[in-house]
Amino acid sequence: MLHCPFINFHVCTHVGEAAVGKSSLVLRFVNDEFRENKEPTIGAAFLTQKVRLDDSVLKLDIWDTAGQERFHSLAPMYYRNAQAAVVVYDITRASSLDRAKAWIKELQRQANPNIVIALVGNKLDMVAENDNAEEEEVSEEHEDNGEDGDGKTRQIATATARAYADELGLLFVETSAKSGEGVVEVFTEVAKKLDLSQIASAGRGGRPGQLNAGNVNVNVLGEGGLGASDGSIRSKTDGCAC
Amino acid sequence: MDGADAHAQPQHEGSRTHSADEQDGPLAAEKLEDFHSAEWQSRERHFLVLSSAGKPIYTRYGNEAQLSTLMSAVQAIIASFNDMSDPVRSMNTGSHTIVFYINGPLYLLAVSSRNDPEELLRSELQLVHSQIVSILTLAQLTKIFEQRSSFDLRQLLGGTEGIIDQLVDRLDTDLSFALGSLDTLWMRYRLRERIGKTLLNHRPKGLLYAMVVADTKLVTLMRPRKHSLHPADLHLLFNMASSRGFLTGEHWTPVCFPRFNDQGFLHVYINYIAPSVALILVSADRDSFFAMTKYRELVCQELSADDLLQRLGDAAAQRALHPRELGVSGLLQLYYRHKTLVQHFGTRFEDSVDDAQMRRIINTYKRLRLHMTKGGQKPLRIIYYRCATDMVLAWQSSTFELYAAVAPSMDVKGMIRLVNTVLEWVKTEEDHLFVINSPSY
Repeated sequence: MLHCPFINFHVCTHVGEAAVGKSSLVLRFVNDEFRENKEPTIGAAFLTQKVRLDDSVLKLDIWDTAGQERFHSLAPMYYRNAQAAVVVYDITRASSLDRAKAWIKELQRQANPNIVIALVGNKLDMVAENDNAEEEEVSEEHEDNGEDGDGKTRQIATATARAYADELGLLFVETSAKSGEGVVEVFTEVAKKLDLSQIASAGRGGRPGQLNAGNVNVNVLGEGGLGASDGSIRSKTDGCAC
Repeated sequence: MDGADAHAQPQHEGSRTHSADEQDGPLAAEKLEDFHSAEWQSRERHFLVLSSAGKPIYTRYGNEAQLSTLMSAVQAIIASFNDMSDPVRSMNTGSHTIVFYINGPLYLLAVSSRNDPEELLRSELQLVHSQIVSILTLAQLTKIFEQRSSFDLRQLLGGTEGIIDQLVDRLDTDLSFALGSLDTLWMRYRLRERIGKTLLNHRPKGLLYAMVVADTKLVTLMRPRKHSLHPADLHLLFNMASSRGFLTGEHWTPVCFPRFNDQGFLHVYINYIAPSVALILVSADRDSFFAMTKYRELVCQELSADDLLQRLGDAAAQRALHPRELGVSGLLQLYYRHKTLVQHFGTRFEDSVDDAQMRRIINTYKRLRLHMTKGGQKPLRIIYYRCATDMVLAWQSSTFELYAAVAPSMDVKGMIRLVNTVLEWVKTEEDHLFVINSPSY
């Protein structure tokens, strides 16, 4: 068996508002499953999944944090040492992008300065059919219309969100946790952008030159969440299948 | 063990998820009920929570936001009685009993169309209140409303309606809350002991309580020698931990234990280590998640090495005992409460019992218990209750309480014989029925 070092990346998938689909996104990525009407996350959930890159396998440690306001004060705990954050909004709800932007500001101010941030627009499946036609003229005015389940329309144009992400140098992907579209891409793109050499040299259990696997801590934060403090750096030295 | 596998979803997850998903339909439908609708009005029991300013906070059925007129009316009623410095406690409309429970800035209201006793409804409202406190702490609750009496508490409770729904539903189908003791899982004494030892073996600094819980039934609980948590706090915790959201992954969340300290949070780790078996850890340190996750790994390693995890899973899969396993026939359901241990076990219902009869029997147990425990100077020791459809016995001695429902065709003599047989059986099985030596440090 190959003995390989795991290196922790604390990727903080930090998602904007409640009910934008943070947990569904993570569940799709980790278990490849989807549940309708998934119950909201309480506190934070910790999950792990591997991503395969060209020449390596990274293990991502993912914090999926609750979107509810009462957990907001706990959020720094989760993103404090994160190497990456995935901030999720709901493309059918204009207010959720504002919330995502606020999160991004907070991350840029308070998190690790080298943090990789991905902006993710979820619920692509809800607008799949009438998308092309409407995309041009979405405005942010009908903020409160997105409440009920049926007949949702896109409220955030791809171009708008992409322009914002480009301006700030964020990764940008639109996804559907329901169909799975774009989900693996989010985490693969995040993993690619992580500075592996930096993480390895930071002495987190990895031996340079053997960098064929690593742990990435991903925090999926909602409007709050738990933080991985120093304790989050877990060295796995046992054998793995890769 | 490979990390990814350690955290991977157990195999059974797929099927569980599937069956659970089927329940989403009716639940979602319940939340859409309009309060003018026949469905809403025909519900036997309603539980509502509002703020002292009349803002809707929670309703079991329908959407609380659409009930704002009703909530305002309730607020007006309560307020007008408050002005007379004689707070309203209950109302009887003939068809419905309405019970109010006022606690600081929260008004709670239960409406029952089946003549539930007032004390019973009030104690159930107190549990709903405690569950809200367990989510927010009383300190936070009080402070928020002091600062802004018109605050919309749903902003803070967001995402936990499901937990309160679950509690309200359980009150109607599970006697544990009324008994005020812990429900235990029947399993071999030695297996329980070894699981307890394993919990003790790896205890990291900062871990206060560790428990293994199968479907809200206690397997074992590790605790400090001089402290123990109140059963009511554990009921609320187990109710929360049984929420479907916790089935996947490792979870870490602040929880307030109202009887322990209603002003602050402890931090709770929840992970399902086998199908419907949760490891629940309580720590005072909010940064100790990784110590907890390491502990879980060690515990699971030791349990798997000795095949204990498999056997624990098997014991949990059986869930409650079947009435026939008690060596009697004609028994529909039974609860036995051990007074000194403050633990109880309940069998499941005989297959022939339908949902309505099940609720009726539990409800009868609750009333009979009320008679026995609040019966004044000479409380009744034994009550035999018979109606056209049900036959129920409640019995308390200095050491136990027993509640049994039997086939209505049985006569009193037969019933007494049956109960005596069960008591004999309990004596021989006691070691396996209850947590006799809970590990302490």
